[in-house]
Amino acid sequence: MTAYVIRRILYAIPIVIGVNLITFVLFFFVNTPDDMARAHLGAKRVTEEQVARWKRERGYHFPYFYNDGWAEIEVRQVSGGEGSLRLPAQRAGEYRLRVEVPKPDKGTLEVKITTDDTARLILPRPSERDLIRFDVADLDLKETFFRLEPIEGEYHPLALSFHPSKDAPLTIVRLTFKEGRSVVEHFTETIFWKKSIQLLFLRFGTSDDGRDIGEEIRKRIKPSLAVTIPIFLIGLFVNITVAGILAFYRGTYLDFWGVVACVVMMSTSILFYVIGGQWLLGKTLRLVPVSGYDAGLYAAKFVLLPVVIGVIGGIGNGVRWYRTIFLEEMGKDYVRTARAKGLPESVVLYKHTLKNAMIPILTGVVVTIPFLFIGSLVLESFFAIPGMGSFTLEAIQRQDFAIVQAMVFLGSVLYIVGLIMTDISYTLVDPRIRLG
Amino acid sequence: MALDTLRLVFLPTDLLLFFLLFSTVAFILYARRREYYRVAWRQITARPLAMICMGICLLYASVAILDSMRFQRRAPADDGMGQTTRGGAPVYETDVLTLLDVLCSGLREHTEKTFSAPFATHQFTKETIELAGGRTIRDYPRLRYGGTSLTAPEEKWSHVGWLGFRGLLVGIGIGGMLIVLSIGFFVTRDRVSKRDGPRMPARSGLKIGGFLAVLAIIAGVLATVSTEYHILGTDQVGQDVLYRSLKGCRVGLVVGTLTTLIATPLAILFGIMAGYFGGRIDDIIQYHYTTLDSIPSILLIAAAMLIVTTRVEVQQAAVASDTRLLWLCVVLGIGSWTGLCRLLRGETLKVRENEYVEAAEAFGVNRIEIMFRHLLPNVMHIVLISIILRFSGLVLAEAVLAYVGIGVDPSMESWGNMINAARLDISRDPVVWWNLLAAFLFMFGLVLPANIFGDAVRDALDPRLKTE
Repeated sequence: MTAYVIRRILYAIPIVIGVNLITFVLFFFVNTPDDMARAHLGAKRVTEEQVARWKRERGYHFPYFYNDGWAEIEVRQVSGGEGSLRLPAQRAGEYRLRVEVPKPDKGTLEVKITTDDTARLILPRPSERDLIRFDVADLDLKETFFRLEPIEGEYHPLALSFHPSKDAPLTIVRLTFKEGRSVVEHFTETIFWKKSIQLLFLRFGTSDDGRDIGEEIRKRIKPSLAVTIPIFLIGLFVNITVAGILAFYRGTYLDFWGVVACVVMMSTSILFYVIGGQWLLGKTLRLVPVSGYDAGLYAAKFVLLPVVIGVIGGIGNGVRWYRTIFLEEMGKDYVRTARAKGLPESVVLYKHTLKNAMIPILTGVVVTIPFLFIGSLVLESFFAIPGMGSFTLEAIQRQDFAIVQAMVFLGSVLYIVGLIMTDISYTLVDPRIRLG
Repeated sequence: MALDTLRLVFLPTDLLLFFLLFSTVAFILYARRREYYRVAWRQITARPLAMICMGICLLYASVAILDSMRFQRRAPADDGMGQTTRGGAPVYETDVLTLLDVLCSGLREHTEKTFSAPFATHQFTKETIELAGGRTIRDYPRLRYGGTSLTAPEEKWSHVGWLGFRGLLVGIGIGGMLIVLSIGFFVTRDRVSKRDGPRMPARSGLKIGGFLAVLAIIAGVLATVSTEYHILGTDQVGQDVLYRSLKGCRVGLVVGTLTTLIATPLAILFGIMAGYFGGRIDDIIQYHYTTLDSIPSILLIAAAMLIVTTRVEVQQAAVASDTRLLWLCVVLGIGSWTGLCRLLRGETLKVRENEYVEAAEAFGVNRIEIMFRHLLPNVMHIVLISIILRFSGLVLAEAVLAYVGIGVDPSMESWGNMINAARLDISRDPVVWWNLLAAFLFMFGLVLPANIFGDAVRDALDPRLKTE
């Protein structure tokens, strides 16, 4: 049994890694950090400087997989007019100045680099004193290196001023600094490590607006569970009981109309139950508050309506499914034997059939248990319950990719946990698996 | 020159919808010659409820197809020939219309200022009205297209009744003709054949004609009454709700069908490959679908749609929203092919043990051919069942996704967007309920028949799964 459980858990590891890779590709390749920044900063006229700052503030400025040690320290967009950049305290070492021209055209860009007397600048060619000249015509990328060497002290101011020629097109200047990196840091100072591998250790990092996602999740799990656990338990009880009754009276009018009611209920949108319930019970009859949440026991009155609606919304599908399982089991030989022994139908149904129907029931049910933590997107947002579902929904609406990525990963991990739990639960109800 | 008065416009989802229509017809022609499908079809036709449900689904489908035939009109000019650019190329109006728009042009053009209740003659909200003498009062103004021929508001319901009666007569007339035509068609087409058992062409003609006649009567009544009233009221910007609900059919149908069109080929290919080849290939395919499957679909959709939103470039509005709809189908498809793939793998594992597969292998038929000639036809029923059973869930999902903000473009006409927009209306006082109810009723009217028909198809094609 222990070996079985360990084997199942080992089997889940490649799947978790696969999910991690999928989310990484989805969130950083299909949709690059630049796209994220543009989506967030909104307007069409976003400058490269803003994008670079946005990325740096949220840690999206690292390379994807391998950090070659060059770290971006400043991005400037130079167009038409002159510009200058003063960096107060810079480390001694090697710098790289890269010039990108999105739409090559005629023109030149002169960059004048100066520092104070405590340091010395070493430019690529000895003939140049402090002026580097780029010809931006017909070229989309150019770069130059220079060194800043200390005479005394650790940090030195560095000043760059840009002098584009009159006809120069829009030019983006990137200043990078060569950091000393250890072998490990080449791999850890990357987006993949910081934003994706960390998820494997359930470190969710911070959201795009700077909140700690792990902290948020801990805070919001309770309200989510307050809604989903009652829905799950009551729903399970109601569905199995009703399905049992229908199966007991199979072939009668009760069964027929019960199934009809199920089909009608599952054809009705969950939104109808939500809006109808809010309007009828909340607004018209004023039995329960329309929406909201409160801590502690006061939560009960807020949770009542979403729970009722969650249960009703699940009845159609649930009852039909359990009824099918019951009917399938009831056609089997052991049921005929039990009846032939003269056992009453209710004992046959709830003792013999239910026990044997446990395997298909568990298959469907146990997997859903971990999802209780994710909450219900629709119910929570309609009833303004500050749980995980509304957290995800708000993140979608604010286009907060960090949160959505964390939730996608968390959801997948919970699903995999559910699968493992299902397999373990089989061993509890089916001796064939335990022994096999 | 006459040819230039219209220009056809095709959006990507239109083309895919037509492709789907074409392949459905092709499949029906194929299945007509197969005894297995003929038996199944006879079982379905024996259930009147299932047939009625299929008819209703077809009705929705035809509305959606009418709404997918788009064209632009030539911009009119003084010379009566239509405008041209300086180079002589014709100039078209910017509005793209569909055949449905033309058929319902009355509904489309009868717009009010804002809300009005079903069958109302006056606007729902008060407004400052200027009287003849220059005085102003605040009152409910008369609607532009709500019972305009009435002299006194008390006569409204008798007027509605009279219009309904006129529509009824027209409907009965057309319906009668349809019954006669349908019986005639079935009787003349009938060939003497003992294979399908005793045949009663006149009776089946009567049944189908009767169904069409009922539709004709309903359509007649609705069409006549809606010339003078807004049967389902108007929405916030004064658009007729009946028209909007009809327009919503297309998105529902597109999401319900194109998703499976996208997902099915993948599922068939990988499912059969995994089941038939086994070994390493099976492991790889199983790993992939298990991994994809473990991402909760709503979160996968959310992530993907978030990305689509940031990536769809600013295009012509109609094209952009259509691209988004297509992407929604793709994403829903990716999220849902795994279930079918798993089923097909399991079924292929069983089917490949049959003697005919062994025989084919012994004859040296290559494995690709075995897959598509011997295995695919024998697992096809699972594909059909899953397409039909998944349809209703997808239609319902569209509404939820629109509410969550990751569905179709908010500018697109869909039931989900109607519900989403009507959420605020329901909290008005007095309550504005007709928007919401119309969207729910139209959705329910498609999903319920689809569920019932789906069950009938499943029972006919796969007796093992039979629920009764």
